[in-house]
Amino acid sequence: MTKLAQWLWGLTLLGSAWAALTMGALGLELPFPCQEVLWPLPAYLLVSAGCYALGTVGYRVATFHDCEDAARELQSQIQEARADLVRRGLRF
Amino acid sequence: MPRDPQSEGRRPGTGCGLWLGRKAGEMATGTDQAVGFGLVAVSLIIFTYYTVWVILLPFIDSQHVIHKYFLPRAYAVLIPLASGLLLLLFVGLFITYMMLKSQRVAKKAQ
Repeated sequence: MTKLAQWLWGLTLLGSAWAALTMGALGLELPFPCQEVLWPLPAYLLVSAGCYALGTVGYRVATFHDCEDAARELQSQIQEARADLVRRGLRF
Repeated sequence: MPRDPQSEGRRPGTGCGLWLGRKAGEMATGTDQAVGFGLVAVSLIIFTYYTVWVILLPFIDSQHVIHKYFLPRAYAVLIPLASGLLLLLFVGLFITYMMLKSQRVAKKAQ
């Protein structure tokens, strides 16, 4: 089974479980606070996944170390490449 | 193909993107750190507020003063939904703008 199929299968299972519980199709009487928590649950999971992604990106941006040597070398390579291309007739 | 004398003897870069073998004392620059930690703070704030709103509030007595700081429960789904749709709208507009711009450039170059 492909990864996409696995994800879709898992999502369908969770989604149908959530739908069955919120619509009361299983016939079990959940206490009112639990019902209140249950129905926004997909939105909550999406928002927390988004927050996790944002936080991870921010953390990696903050802790990524500068590479002075590599930056200088890259700039010089860019200059070389530009000169080479201009010599071969490409207009910038 | 003429041999380019500049391409001979080019060695691989000495980039320090790898986590091993980095030099001591190379920290991310100021703006990077500020933006990064700002994003972390924003995401933590949003996460805690939303968690309290969705998960904790139903279990707190409805007469408690803390309910004053939170909007009615329906907004807990409406606000993320609306902002998600807005985000999609902006992404679509941006893509359309870029496509039109590249078409205009291609037409001018003809």
